[in-house]
Amino acid sequence: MIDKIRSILKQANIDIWNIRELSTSSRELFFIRKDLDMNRAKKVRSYTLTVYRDFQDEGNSCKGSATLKLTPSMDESEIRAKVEKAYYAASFVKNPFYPLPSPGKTERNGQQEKSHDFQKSLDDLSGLTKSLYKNDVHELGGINSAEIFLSSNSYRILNSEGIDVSYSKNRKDIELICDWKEEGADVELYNMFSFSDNCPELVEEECRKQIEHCRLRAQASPATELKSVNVILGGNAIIDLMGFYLSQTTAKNKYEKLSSAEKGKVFQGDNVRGDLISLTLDPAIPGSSYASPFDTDGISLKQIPLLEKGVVRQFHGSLQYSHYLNIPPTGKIKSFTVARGDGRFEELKKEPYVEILTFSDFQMDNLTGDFGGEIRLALYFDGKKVSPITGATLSACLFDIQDEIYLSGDIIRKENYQGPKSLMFKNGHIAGS
Amino acid sequence: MKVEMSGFLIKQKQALKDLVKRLSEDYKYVSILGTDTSGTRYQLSRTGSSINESSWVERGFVSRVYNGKSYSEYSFNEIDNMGDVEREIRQTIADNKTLIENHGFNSVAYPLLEDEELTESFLGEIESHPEQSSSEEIINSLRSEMNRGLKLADYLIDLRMIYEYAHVSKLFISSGKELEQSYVWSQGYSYPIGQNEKGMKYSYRSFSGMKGIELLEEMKAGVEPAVLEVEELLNAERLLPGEYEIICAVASAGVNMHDGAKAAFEVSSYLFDDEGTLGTDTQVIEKGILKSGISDLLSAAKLGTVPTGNGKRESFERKAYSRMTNTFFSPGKDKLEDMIASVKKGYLLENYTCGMEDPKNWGIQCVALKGKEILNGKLTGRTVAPVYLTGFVPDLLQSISMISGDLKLSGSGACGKGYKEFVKTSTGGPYLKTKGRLA
Repeated sequence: MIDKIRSILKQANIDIWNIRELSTSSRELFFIRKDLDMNRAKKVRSYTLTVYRDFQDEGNSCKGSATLKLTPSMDESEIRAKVEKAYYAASFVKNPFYPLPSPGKTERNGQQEKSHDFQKSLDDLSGLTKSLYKNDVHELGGINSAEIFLSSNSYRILNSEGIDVSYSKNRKDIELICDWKEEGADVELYNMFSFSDNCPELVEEECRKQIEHCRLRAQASPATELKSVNVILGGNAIIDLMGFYLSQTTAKNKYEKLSSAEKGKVFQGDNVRGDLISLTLDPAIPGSSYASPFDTDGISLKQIPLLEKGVVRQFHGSLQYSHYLNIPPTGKIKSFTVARGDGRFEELKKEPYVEILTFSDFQMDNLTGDFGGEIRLALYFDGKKVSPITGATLSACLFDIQDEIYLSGDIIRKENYQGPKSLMFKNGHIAGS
Repeated sequence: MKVEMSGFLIKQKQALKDLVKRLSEDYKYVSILGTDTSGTRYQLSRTGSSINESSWVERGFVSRVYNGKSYSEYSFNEIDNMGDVEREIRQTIADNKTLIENHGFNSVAYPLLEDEELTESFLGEIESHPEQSSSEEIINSLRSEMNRGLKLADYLIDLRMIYEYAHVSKLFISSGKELEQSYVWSQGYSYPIGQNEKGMKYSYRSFSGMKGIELLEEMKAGVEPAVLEVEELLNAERLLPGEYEIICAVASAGVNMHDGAKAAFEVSSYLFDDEGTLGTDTQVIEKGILKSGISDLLSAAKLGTVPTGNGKRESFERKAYSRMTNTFFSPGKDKLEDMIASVKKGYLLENYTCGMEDPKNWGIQCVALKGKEILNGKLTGRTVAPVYLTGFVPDLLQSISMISGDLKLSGSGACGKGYKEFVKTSTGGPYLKTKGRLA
């Protein structure tokens, strides 16, 4: 198929292009309670082609582009028609010129993970299922429904400048809904997580924790309004909050004047009383399904320090926007690490706090800094005892609180993130029932 | 003009029918859904532009076979060798047996699906097909509006203009059914971003429908209101959290509620769903009383109810679930100005960006770009932003005291199951007066 696409590109005199091939095979199991509801399998292949054209527009050097998706079932005439249409469309995309990446001195290919042997994948699925259900042992609650996805992905990226790299990666996704029913309460909680390596302990722990949170939610009291309280956020919320700094330091946002970050300056402000954030892009976090040796342009990825003790060290992103800012391209890296706090978080936990364990839908606005959501489960420490609460709402703005946030010493590895398990900010306002 | 059915799917029809026939010799229920969706997303901003294929583009197939106790599915998009496809489908069924017999899994037992004889087709109609328009025409229209909008205010950093369309074709083949449909939907946004000494804010106006590039003309009406709203948001204050009387603009709550592919004509209107069930109009709530749920084919079979045609897949690569289609609340008889006049202290909430429900526990969360303050029956001119509306759905429904007479649906977003399985939906309704917790 790639030869076919290249031949069509040559015939159409299109000499600047990028092709990404993705082949995916998967086995999927769907459970209701402990029973298998459906099994599915998938075998698909797709090609994403970007065609470029360089031209002059009112004295400016431009690079236009258009992207299209091709599938193996397309014949030559259909591909040719789509390619020619895309190439024509590219002439109306008047972006300032930028080069395409060329082959570097790095290794040609990324790690070729051994693909799932789908003859053996039922054993893997069975093992994963056993880990998931290991802690589903309670009379009053447990797994309501679960979905398990086991997939093998093979990538190949090539462009007109000579890049031709490939790698493969396995991925596992689990969606889990647990519930708990006792007198006066019948509750459930949702969770979804992914990983790339075999880690039964992670799967067992996610399920155990979620059932425990359901039990706590069943026993939780409706929250009352809490003014000026220390608020602790963890789980997906801390990933989203730290992701804000990732977004603010992209070359694209800097170029489009959507970021106030300045290289060499502390992003959190001039008078930071809390922890200064140190954040590093890391394309190879062990076990992360987001780890990748190359980005979609075929740029070889490596660790990049973005924030060091709050100071912006670098902007990051694609070759296109890096070229516009005249900085070295880091490539598009999705995963990152954050350094642990200096210990004040643990000290502050002696004061009253609300630790939010689960939101209905935590929303982080990477442009405005606004964040918040409905609290499905939180722990309230009033200075003497810890009680579960539910049904409250949090709303705040990261720009307003970032001068005094405290990061935990405990570290977690989750999705595209490795860093403090929790962060705390002061003077939070919880809207209660 | 009539939308044309995918030539690719028509070409594959006989091979798919042959495959269904061969598998039907060994299995009591076999179906195959074929999808072919093309589309493009045009995006323009002050600093650049892009023309990319729509993220809704897909082409492939999914089979569903009764394995004796439940159903097994296989998704594929390589059809050079139908023998290989047939082997993979049979392997997926064998996997199910192995899991039960060798790995000790218990299986949910489903009845055999009834497969009535049915041959139908549907071709949508639009004014002007995007595939017959040039990229130049579309980009120039967006650029013209962007340039016009950028001149409206000096606080603007950017004004993004987006137009996207999808030409959807689907073919469903089983022993009894042969269904075809093809239609086009479009959506567009104007998305201004502004800045002042307090920070950055953005607004948007969106447009959607079973339309072609005629939507570009409609989009022109959204630029100025969106730009002006940015100024309002830049000067907005933060809300003091608490419970307030609220008037929700096109929110999802009410006393007469419908859902269905045939309940309205918006982006989720179709002849049949992704399991070959014809679309319907389901009255979910009638005069405040829950009348009916929505269902996919398998959940209806398990519950012994009539399927409502809500079995939707994100793409041929994904499982079908019971999903929303066009969901809305019927209009009432109140006037918005009377509703505002009746509020002692509260907010008129406008421009929602997202929502999430807590199905089992009846929780709900909606985020609105802004709330306009109402005091003693009058809008004060003060705006708070953003606003998180949360609460217990039965309480919100029981608190509804007024419903306006207008009905407006918006299909410019999508609905996920958790954070995956995104499907195209439209939602809306009249203005509702109720009570809610705001933060």
